[in-house]
Amino acid sequence: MSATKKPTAMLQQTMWPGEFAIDDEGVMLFLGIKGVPELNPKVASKTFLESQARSGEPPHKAGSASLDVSLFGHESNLSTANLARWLDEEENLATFVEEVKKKAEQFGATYLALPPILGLEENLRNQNALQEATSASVFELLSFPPSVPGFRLQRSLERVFVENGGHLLIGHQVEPCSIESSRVTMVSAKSPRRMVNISTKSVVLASGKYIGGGLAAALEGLRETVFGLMTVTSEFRESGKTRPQRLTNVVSLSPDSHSLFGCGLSVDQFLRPVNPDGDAAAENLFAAGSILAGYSYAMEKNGLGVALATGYYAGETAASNALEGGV
Amino acid sequence: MTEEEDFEHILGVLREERIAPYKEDELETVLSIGHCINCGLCLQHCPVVAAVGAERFSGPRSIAVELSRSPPEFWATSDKVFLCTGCGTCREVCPRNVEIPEIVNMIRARIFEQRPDLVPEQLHSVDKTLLEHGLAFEPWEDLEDKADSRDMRLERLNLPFYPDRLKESAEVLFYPGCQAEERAQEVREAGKVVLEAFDVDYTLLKDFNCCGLPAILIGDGETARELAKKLKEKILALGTKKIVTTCAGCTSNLNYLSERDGWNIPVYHTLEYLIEEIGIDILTEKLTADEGTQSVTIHSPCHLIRHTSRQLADYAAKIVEAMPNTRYTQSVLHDSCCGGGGMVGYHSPDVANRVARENLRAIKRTGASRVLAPCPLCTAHIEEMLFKTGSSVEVDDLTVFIAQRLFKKE
Repeated sequence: MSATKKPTAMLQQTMWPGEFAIDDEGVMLFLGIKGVPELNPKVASKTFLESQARSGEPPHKAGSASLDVSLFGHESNLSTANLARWLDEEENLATFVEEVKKKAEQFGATYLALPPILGLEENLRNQNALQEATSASVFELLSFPPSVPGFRLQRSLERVFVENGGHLLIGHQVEPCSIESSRVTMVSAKSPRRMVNISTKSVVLASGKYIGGGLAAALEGLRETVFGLMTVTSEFRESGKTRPQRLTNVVSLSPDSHSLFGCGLSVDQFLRPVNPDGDAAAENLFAAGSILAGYSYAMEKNGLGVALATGYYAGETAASNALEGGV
Repeated sequence: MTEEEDFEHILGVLREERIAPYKEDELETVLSIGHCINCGLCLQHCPVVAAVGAERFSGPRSIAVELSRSPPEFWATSDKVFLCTGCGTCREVCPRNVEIPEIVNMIRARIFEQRPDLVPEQLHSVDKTLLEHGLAFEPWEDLEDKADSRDMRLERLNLPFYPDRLKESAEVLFYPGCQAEERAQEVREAGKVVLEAFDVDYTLLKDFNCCGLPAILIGDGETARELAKKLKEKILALGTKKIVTTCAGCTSNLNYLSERDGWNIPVYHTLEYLIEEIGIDILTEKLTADEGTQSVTIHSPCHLIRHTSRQLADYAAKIVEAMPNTRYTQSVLHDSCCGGGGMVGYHSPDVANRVARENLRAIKRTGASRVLAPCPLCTAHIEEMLFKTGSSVEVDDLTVFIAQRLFKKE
């Protein structure tokens, strides 16, 4: 990416650069990989130095270099995921560490920024190996989605879910379901050639917004696709009969964002989607993530935060509802 | 000019321009292309791109977005589109349900029709076998040799031989698939052992023919439809209520055909039949203990998990975990393509082998001494790759492994 700074509450360990401020004489090296478009080290270095000059914060020195790993015998069209998988294999690590070390020594780097390639599984091992060899603080930058840190996060969440007794049914898409007597008792999911019916005590609806398919925007208005729940605008007005065009601003990059991005479900204190009268649509149906109304990911850049916080709370409440028969 | 003549005239012009109209059952696939949002998830997950890079195989996004939208120049994509193993990973991770594996088959079909010279010659050879024999493999010239080969395999695996049952109106049609019919005969016999063990009323086809999946993958849509038509006639004439197969590719394709052509007959893989129709408790009661503990891992075939349902991988694990003296360790890449699909190994073995290499590493990391795959094609490909790398890990078709534990020689 372009080495601009982004505020965040949490980040993965291999993306933590250490404290810049404690090292006044530090040298930042942006190390790109030939063929990987996610990081242009020259641009990143320039942007970083400009930002440091404005803030007056160290480090004040930065450089850029590129490595040629020729993963498939050429140096074009490489993806960060390809490289991450490659570095997961221990046999590839030694050569890579050696090449990085040469560059780090050449620049006297104390901080070493790489695109996110340190591995899908073995990123901590690889970060340690690089830090030991270079004596620099090695860290990964952001990249465009779908990104390696994103894959790692997904794998971690899935692993924790399964380790705690969860069962993942991958490759199945939920079918439209009904709410009967204020309860969801059955959810159906379809794979290419099979249909699975699942009896439910609690359901967490985390079907996403427009890309995920949780919300569908048509000329007639916005629709929640699984249960047909009430949808609202970011101002919490009913949007089932509102044309999506009316929820956009004339200015495409408006600081007020577009109301369309903040549309979704209105929920009660237990994250249960509500009906127009304000009552829970179903006593055992909860919602989490980007299907919730009232925040704009595009403007507020808090998509993962909302997903993690509401996912945790909805999961906890849904579990206690399933075990105890009520929230 | 009448309306029909008008239509024929337009078709003639399109034909000259080498533009082939879409068939009725292709429309859903074609429309799904428009849903692509270019997110690149498919590209990041494609096992062929991961194995050989995007220069060699430009990947699913490129096929869906660019290559599919260039009629009549479909032929220009032949060096890429025949490298797809058809694993379906792209469709599974796609947030917009773009039917990429089906698009690949459509493009292959157009290349086959318009520029057959660009279809790899090894695939033409398989197509010739399909046309001549209705099978994906050359049948044995001498049936006695075929029987000898079968008996040797059964003896080595300590499996019994049950004569073929051929009858009308049986409850179940057992359909072994071409690989088990002509090559991995032990899988065909193991399927029979499993059905015999539970007194299932079953029959085989008197005159077996391929389900047509290889023809679809080659691009020969006409032969695929012809084989499907013949099979439908034979199956409906038998009057069976269910179909059971030991082949992953046949499971997904027979399910597709049953739905498309209105057979109205459910198709099960053996694993599915054991869990859903026999029941794990009854199966467990019959499973006998092996001497010494076996350490195993499972490979989950793409045609079972991504073209049919992921539940089948759960079924495989459930059955193996129920086996006495068997220790199961899941490979982190159990669900990753083995490289044996899409007919890629026939013309570009280097690509198929590089895809398999990723799998082998993960298999070795499990420490298992045996890999079980519920598909004779995956079994053969993984076995060949492990042998080439000098590995001592053995490979069995899962149906064979189950059959061995359902039968104890007196």
